[in-house]
Amino acid sequence: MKLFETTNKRMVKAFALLLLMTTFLSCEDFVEIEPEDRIDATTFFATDLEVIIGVNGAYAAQRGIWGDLQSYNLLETRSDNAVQNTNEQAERFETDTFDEGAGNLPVLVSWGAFYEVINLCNLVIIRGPDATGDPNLINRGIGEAKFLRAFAYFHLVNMWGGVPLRLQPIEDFLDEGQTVIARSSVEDVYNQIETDLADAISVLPETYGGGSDNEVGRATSLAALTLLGKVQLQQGNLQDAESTLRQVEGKFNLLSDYASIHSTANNNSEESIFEINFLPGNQTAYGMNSLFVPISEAEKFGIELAGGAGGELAVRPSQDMVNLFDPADQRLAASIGFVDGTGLAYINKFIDFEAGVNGHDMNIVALRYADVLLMLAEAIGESPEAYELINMVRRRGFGLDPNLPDLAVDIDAGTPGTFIEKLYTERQLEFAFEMHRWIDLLRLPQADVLNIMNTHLNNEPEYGGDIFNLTPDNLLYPIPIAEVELSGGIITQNPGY
Amino acid sequence: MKNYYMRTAFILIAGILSVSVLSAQDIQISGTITDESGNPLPGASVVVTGTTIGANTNVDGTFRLSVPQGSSSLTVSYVGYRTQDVSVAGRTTIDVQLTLDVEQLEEVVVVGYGTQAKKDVTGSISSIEGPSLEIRPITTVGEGLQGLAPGINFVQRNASPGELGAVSIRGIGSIAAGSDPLWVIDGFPTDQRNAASINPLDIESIEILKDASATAIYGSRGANGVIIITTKSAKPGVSRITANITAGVSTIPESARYEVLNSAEYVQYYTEQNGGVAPDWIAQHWDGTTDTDWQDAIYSTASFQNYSISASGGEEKVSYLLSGNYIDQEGVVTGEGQTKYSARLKTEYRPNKKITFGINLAPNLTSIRRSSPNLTTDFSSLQAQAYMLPPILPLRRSDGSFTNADDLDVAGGTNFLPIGNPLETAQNYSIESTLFRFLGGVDVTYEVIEGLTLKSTFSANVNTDRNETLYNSPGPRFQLPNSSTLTTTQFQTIGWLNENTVTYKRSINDHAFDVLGGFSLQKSRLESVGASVSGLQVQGPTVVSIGDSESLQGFNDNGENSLVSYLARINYSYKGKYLLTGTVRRDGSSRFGVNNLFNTFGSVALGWRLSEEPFFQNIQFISDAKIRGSWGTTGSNDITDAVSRASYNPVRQSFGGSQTFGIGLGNPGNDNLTWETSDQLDIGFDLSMFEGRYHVTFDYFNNETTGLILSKNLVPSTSFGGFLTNIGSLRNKGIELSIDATVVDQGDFEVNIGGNITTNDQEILDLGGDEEIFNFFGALRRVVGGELQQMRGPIVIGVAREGETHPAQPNVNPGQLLYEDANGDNAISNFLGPDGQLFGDTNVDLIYGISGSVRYKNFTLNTLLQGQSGGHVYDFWQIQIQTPFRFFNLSKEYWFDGRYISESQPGDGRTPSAAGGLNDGIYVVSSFGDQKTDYLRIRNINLNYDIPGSFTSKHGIRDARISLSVENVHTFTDFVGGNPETRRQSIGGPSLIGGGSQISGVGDSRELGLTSPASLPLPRIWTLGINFSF
Repeated sequence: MKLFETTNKRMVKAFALLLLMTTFLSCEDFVEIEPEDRIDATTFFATDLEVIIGVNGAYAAQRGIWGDLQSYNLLETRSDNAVQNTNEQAERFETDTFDEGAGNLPVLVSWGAFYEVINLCNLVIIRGPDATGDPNLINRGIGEAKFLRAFAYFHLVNMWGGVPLRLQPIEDFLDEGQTVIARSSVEDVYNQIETDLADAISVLPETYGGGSDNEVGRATSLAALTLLGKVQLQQGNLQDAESTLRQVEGKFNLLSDYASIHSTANNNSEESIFEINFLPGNQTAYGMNSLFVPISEAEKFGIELAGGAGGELAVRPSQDMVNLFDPADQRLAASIGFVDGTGLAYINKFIDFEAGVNGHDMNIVALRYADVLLMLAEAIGESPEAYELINMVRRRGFGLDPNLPDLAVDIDAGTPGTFIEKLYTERQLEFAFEMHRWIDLLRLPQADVLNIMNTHLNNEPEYGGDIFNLTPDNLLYPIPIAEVELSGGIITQNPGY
Repeated sequence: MKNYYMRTAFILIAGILSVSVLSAQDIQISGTITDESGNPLPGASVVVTGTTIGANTNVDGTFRLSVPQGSSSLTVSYVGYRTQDVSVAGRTTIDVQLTLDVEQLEEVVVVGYGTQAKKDVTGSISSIEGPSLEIRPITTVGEGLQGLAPGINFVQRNASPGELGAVSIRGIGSIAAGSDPLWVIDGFPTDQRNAASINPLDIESIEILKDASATAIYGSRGANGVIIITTKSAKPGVSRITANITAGVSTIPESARYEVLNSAEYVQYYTEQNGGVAPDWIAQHWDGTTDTDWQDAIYSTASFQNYSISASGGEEKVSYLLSGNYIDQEGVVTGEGQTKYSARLKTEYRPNKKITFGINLAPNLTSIRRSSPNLTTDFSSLQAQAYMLPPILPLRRSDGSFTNADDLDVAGGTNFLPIGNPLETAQNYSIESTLFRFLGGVDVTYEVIEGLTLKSTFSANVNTDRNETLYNSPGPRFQLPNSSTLTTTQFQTIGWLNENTVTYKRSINDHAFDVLGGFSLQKSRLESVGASVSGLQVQGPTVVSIGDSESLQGFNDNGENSLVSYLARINYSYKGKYLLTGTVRRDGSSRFGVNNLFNTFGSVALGWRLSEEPFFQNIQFISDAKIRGSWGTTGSNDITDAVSRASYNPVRQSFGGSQTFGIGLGNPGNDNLTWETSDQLDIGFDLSMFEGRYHVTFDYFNNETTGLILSKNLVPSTSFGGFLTNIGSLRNKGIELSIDATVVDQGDFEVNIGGNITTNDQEILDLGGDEEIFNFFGALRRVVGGELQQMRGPIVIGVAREGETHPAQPNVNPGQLLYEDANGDNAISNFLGPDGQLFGDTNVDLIYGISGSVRYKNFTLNTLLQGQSGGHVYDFWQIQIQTPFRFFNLSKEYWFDGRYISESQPGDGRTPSAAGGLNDGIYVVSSFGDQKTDYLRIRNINLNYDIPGSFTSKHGIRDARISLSVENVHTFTDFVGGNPETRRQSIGGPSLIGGGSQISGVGDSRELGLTSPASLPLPRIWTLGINFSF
């Protein structure tokens, strides 16, 4: 019976001990649990490697722009190069026929895709400098982010005008001063782009050696120079553009076969300056095949359309585009295919004949040397040198040696049309369906753009003979309605919407 | 170990010493301790008063004790009986008859962290006795709750064996966070998945805690109500072995089936649709005689078996209960079923009166089989295929192979969706889920001084779910994978809980106190891993390495959550008539923002037992009357772990043909995210009349949830659609009434009836500034001022007749549906446009249960009815899937009966003609899909025969009972479809297979307000059971 008394005393001690333990236990620590299955945003960007992983994310986000139909609608079918199938989703057709409202979905998706790249770049640019590790690697990562940010803002400013300049990550989502940013002027956006590119040029290498963290396909200083040249040209700053582009001149070569530019075998080729990289599997594949290729043609080629069959031919070449090609121009067959029997034209530029259901790995060539040559010609202005630059590109298009003059193919001052008309036609042929045309058109005087577009819209059979009469307001897209409405009056809409 | 030996030695020496010392001068006393009816009480304690000298009675109830000379009295005690002091007075034989402790006999209810006499309860608590579930063929506890108590709604959304239901208490109080109640099993706070693993025969009682006074002790998890399950314990001194064998069959009776067209009707309908000529697919493919009943093909009579055995016993110091249970239930649908093994060990060791050690271990293994995907795809469940396939299609082709919808295709014409043959699907598809559940713990209770008790528990919970899905694809089938696939996943949750409480009970004159204080820690860790592969090279093995390596995908997930709590409660009563309960709990939860980890919840409640007042003594027929009122605040922390933490997602990126990874913008996080809190008011009364033969309980409740966790929209250029923050509020209010009456009580003949009813009126008060939130593309909306979920679309006003003109539908043909032109623009828009109107809500306004029992001598007949009313469902199955424009079979009641055929046969004015049923672009999202879900179900009837004691005692049996039971006898409803209760779950919901919800991973009883595709009727289960104990 004594046992119980001792036990009782022990019990008291035990409970007292428990009570003490619980009193001293830090309850805050007990309930502060860091997530394990995701990357903690509060501690990331601590090392050089994390800066690179951060900028990798910005590269990955580019797939949301260049591998997506919505941005393709805004950058290519908007122009006179291509048309959206009328049977497809109405909102896509609206962007093609300048009929979209501020609630248009492709406008929202594309806007969001550009800003996603920018927001990821902002993280790298702002948090990267505090990372530890190899300063060269950190600076390079920040330089890559500045290039990607400039590339995104360049498109935003051309598509929407003066857009909100987001340069900082949001630290406090409850603070509307951080979440809502007012629109900047077009000039300020361009100034920021040029500043970013100047920084990128100073830290980025001309090439990458390959291997981990140093992969071919990252932004180079030459890519930044090319983009800077484009930015200067877009602003009409021809002298600066020329001197910038001269620094790229001779650093790349034209591939001898035009058709091979867009092939999985020639990803990041010697003509390529900057590409959006794809690879099958794990959501990194290019999957727009099914939007361009009719099912019957896919069956003929024995390729599987990513996303499965049932995708309707969403985008087709415009009739004007089909007619533009010289029959001897090899770029026609490399750009446009015709369905057996019906003769229906379709875009065949991006078909990978090895493609499987998981998509394919043909990269999107965003900047290439032919563009440098033609931009340089534009910057120099009408001159024998400019014509020679144009002819280099043209000869390759006709399957000739770019450096050997050919009287049948070459153009010169005597060729009908103005220099700009001839140059822009050459650009249109060279970069057909590569998402350059709409941005190119915006460099022209407004009246010329409107004239070109009205002519195209009124000619195109797909539009069913409607009469179009575009106004200068049509040259900018509407700011997505959610951006305007949720801003509490801070963000203003573009005129006409 | 060393200690143990020393202690043993000490006991031995002490024992020898005391015996030797005492033996010189002690007197021997012996005797028998019996209960009120003279039966011996083994294990009763007999102690010399004021000393520790004592003994326990043996199995015959006898004791023998040496007492020192001069000892004046013995104290005899036994759990559950009044302790007696007996004078020795020189006797050497002392027999004592103990009487039951009336205090303990008083009706007691389990409350959070303790028990309370029912008369003193100030909160709203419903109790369900375990035995009321015993006779029914119930495999999970939830199924048994429906209709038995007010305030709780359990919806069996999926009738397949082993599926969990949707539980809510007093309505759904949240939009994006979880809405399931907290389940507390023998003190362990957990979820329905663990509750479902309990053998229903192990349950002693279920308490449903509904108002803040009852739930505030659970603080941050109390807002959705609490269900406390208490398992049976051994009764000391009562040694008993109980066996229960139940076997039976389940079927889907003809009357419960979903009625579709037979071949003649099918041909007639589509011939009408085709302008009087049989369409090609019928002309070319129907042999004129085939009339396949596809439901017959997939339904069969399924067996049900349940074997349980439990043994319990013990004495004053040790008591134990052991139980084992095996259930094997086939599904009525080919290839479905579950097998469930569970066991429980519950023992208590009471070395002395002050200390109790307890241990409770309950492992369970359940294996669930499925033969088609689980409700997630519209066309691929077996019953969906059976409902859809036309009766003109035979089951098999002449070569014996299975047909499918492609067999009806017509060259250059109608192509059917490639819906598979259900028997072929069943042959090729299997989901096998193996669920292991373990809940167990140890506890120690120590009574320091009388009334002051310390208790400490340490418990653990292990859940492992292994799911394996194997599909050997026979070729392209709609919404089934094109290639053979194997997916295997494993989820594991390991949790532990430590709770330490102190209680002090004391009565001083007219004042009675019952004070509780406590501290608790709970943590649980979740891990999952899985892999999937397609393109299986061989059939049979279930290893991913047999698949196409390019398609191989692996995934895993880890997480942890914790909760730290301080709790306190006081129950005070003055003169037993004025009652006060005050509760406070402070919780810290890892799920919330670092700035808001802790929050305090609490409640106060008052009760007044009118019947104790002098002025009430004259009212003879009222034996007890109590008025209660409570107000308090509770919370809900049912959101995903780490949702408040800012994070990035890993994404893949390729450079130059190789892959690396990068970050994507993940969760913006919110350091200030905190609990949804629910302010709850409850006013009620309990009335007991005619010596307790009639009981009435009434409650009015008004619960307002504030700080609803919703996404606050951000401008798109932030790259976040929004971030979760506490905005918005929602109210549920209603009344509960339950009545129980013993109508006849005349010895051999007894009649009891009972009923309960609960109303719920819901209103969204605020959505953080937004007017409405879209669900399901805007066909369903949450609108400020409305109930939780409203349906929207053009409203059907009838069927067009010849000669009529309809400005809004100028080209309408006779037999087509007409819609209300709400904005008068002479055009009908789709559901998103101006003619889209809200036309009803999916909230059930009223639920009720009715029970009755009649006993005559040894026969008892019990019945339970339950039902609901006021709810609607947006039936997309009828208007989008099984519709005339797909050319499959149709619901006879929805599309065939009462259709417009001609001006002379205009039908019921609501059903369009066969041609009018072709898609007009409007009705697919319109009020044509509005169905009421009212029903009344005879849930169970059972007849029991208690074998007379005169017979059983001869055979050494203590008692025995034979029961015949029918579950889901019949459902009275106007609803067209399999089961008016089934709903498409919100993205995941509490299914045993799979999970997820709006904030993924939370317990979720909400529904999308849409019918589940092709719901399965509840099967009728006939069982015969024998229960005996010895």
